Amino acid sequence: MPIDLSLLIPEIAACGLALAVLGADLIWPRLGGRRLGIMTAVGAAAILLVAFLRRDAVGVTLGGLFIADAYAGFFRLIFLAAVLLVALMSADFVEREVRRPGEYYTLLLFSTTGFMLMAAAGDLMTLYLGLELGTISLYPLAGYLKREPRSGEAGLKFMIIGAASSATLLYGISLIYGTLGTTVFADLRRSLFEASRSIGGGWAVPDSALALGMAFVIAGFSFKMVAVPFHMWAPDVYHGAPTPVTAYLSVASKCAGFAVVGRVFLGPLLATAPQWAMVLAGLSFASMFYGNLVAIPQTNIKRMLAYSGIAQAGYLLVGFAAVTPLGAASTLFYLLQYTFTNIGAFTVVTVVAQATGREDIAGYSGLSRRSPALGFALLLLLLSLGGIPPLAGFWAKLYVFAAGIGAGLWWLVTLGVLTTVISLYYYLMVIKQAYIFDPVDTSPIPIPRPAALTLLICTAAILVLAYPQPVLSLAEKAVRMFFVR
Amino acid sequence: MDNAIHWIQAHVLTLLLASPAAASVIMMALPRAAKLAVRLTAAVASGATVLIAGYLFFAYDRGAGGIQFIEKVAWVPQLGLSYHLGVDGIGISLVVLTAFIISTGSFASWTVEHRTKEFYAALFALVTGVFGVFVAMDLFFFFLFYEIAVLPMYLLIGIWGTGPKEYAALKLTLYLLVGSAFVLVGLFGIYFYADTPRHTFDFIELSRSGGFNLGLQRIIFVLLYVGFGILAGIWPLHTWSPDGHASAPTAVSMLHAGVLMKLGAYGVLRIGVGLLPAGAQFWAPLVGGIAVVNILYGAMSAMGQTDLKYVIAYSSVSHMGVVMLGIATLNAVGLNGSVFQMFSHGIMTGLFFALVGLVYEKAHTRDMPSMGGFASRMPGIAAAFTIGGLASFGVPGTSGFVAELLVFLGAWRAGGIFTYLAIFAVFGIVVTATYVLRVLQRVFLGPFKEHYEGLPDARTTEWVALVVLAALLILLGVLPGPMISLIDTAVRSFVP
Repeated sequence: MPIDLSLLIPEIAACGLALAVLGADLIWPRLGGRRLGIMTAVGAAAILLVAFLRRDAVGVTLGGLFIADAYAGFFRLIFLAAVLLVALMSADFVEREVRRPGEYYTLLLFSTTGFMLMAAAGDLMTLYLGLELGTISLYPLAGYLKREPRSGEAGLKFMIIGAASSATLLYGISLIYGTLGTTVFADLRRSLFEASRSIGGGWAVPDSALALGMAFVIAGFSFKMVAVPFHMWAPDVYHGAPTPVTAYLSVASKCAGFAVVGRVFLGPLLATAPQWAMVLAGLSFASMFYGNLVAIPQTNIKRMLAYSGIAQAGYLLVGFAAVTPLGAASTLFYLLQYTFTNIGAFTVVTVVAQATGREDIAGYSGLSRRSPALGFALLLLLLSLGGIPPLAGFWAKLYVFAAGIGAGLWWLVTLGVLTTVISLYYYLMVIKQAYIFDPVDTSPIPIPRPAALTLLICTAAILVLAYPQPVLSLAEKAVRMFFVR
Repeated sequence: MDNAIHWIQAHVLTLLLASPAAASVIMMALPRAAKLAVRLTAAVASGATVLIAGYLFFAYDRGAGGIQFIEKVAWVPQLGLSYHLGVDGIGISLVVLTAFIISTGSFASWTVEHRTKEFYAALFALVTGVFGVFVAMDLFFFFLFYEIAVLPMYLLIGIWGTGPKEYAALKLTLYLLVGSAFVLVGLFGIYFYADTPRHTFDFIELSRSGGFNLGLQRIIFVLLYVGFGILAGIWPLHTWSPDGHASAPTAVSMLHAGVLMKLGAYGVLRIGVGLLPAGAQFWAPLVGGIAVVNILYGAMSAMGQTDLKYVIAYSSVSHMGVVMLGIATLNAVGLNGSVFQMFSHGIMTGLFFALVGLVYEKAHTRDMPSMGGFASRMPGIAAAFTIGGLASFGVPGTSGFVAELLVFLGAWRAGGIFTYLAIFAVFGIVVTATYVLRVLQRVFLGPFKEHYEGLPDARTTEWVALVVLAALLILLGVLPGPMISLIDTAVRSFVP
């Protein structure tokens, strides 16, 4: 089979861009964080355009290790959009706070490259390598502010727990390999479906070693998805890491977790769906319940958003737990809008923290008076996170709930709908500070231009996605091949 | 030119939604200091909705009946979801009500000085949602507009309210969101289990379907009744409403008690009774029983209040009981009365809240024991309050009489337990008369309390709400025919 490298153009380009940014910083050390950030964003935008235009260039290459299909293409768009937005919003932050800006953007881009490779993996090992490249690049980023002890703590914690989760994942992979004798997705899928057919289409797990392997794999992925009970690293890391890094982490790392869950469980392990679907439903239940309740008493907005992210993982899992084309597509749609919404919310946090030095929710009092644009953006973004129509977050929740009920998961959807109301409580608490309370300090808050552009893109996206049809079609196309036998 | 007129006629309901929505966006874009421009935008936009509502009222073909002015655009075809608008007689009467309340409410809030543009922008966003609910013919868009109508309330009460406004705003919002969670699950139930060729949210397709499993109808009706009922203020889930209404600024109280509570009743009627007739049949005695509790409990509570605004707020709880009792009768007379009561109570409570707002603004108190003799200084306000009060306990010649008469006749006709319910409900009217007359006596009659020296009557724009709404109450009482014949065309489709 000839090697068709043209299928890897976005990945190669992202890697090249990472090296170009590093080189530019070496050659012209006076460029500064702002210009490098804009360079990264422009480059990412160009790659995003290429990836979008080449979305129909599908195929398998590198001897089956790399699958460029619609699913990989969809996640490419998400990861590239995430790095584009985060590079933009970081520009002023990096200029002010970070001593070596080149490495910052390079690490971000390497992480993106890793996640893109992972989403397109055709084999458990490629998947693992991509995931590690994506995650390891994030460890130093989380600890990037060396003078801040909390940032260092975040980096260390993230690394230790990340390593543990990788080990768990790897052990699961080795068990799957041990039972079925292959790591290639296509072969795994075939042999499991054959085993299922041989016992009349029923439960298709031939032995308990495979079941154990699946359990470990789910645990490993759950760290990335930040699903309860594998969530405990998130609040501390989100809190301590530099805010733009948190923004990237909260979106890209989570999307990566869901990308691999879809790739592995809807792909090779689809025949065993009756077994893992209930586990995913259980994780979803626990995440919605725990995340939403613990978010209520938070006083720091980054921690609040961390717990809200745990809850969102619960909603996202409903779609996959349904194991239907609509369910999988709705999770993908959810991820896409979540990317814009969450990065937007963290952009507001970054801007406010830079201007006022405050990250506590009380620091947002009177935000709508100090900066009407920032206040309004925060209002829209939080309401979208809370699933208020007609914003994108509402459609996302609607789809996953509809898919859940369609699959008979009444109990899960009922909890989902009720916890959505709970979630609105803590989102409204922030809105109350921003809109109802008068500002203590009335000085206006300036928005740096790149961050303003990020906010504009994010809020425009959640408004445009009120017409969800085109993106939903794209998502449906992306998951269709999983359900074709 | 002909093309333009034709286009407008074909999209009249979209225009109805677009005018407040556009107004809201324009207001947000206006500079902070341009308060007059904001107010004029509000006046123009609400005037436009009155014109459109008037057009609907007169252009609706009563002979043909049914759902008219239909617009339909596919939105998400995979899910059977479409942007589908249309109105029948019930929808039109409530659209007319909303248009009157928002236009008079805009004038009643003319004096809002604090963050004027945000106030009107949020108010008109809310109104867009209200109109949307009344004209949506797709369950999904119905829900979407329903949520849009609820959320701005949080800011409107939280920022511009009085008293324990943050508490009231949060309580109201969370109660209503819990309600919408119930509604959403119920709508999903209809979507997935209705006997249609393919899953659809389309109201007309669903109402043509063969109905579905009896047991499920009963379960789903309860979900919808509880969900919508929270907004309609059914006992014992009404406690958000007195707090919310009392804390809200004038125009918001008018809109909320006048129109938003009707969204709840409208939801029970349109979706609960319309799509789940067997479920409604099964639960009707309970719905009727709770309605009577509402009537009596609301009236008794109103009697015990000393805060003028709480009296009006509890009277809404009581009057919504009449609406729900009318729905529970499930016969043409009762349903006609119920919808007529929605309209009549909307106008009446709008008038009351406008008046309370004026009294508070001028006397700076809502504490009734400290007031007295205000009629000598503000005769216009006192006269309007008297008209509203008479309508409230259903004196012949006012709209309240027609509405309550129809509801009680309907209850009588329904027979069985409803006969007894009607008797209890009539007793509620006596209590209502007591508290209304007591308010009149304490606030407006008796000797004038001297420390309120210099109390002015209503001025310029403030007259608009008073005159328009009071005149409507009497007009509908004397000449209920056109309105009832309109409602009746729609009610016929609900009863076998």
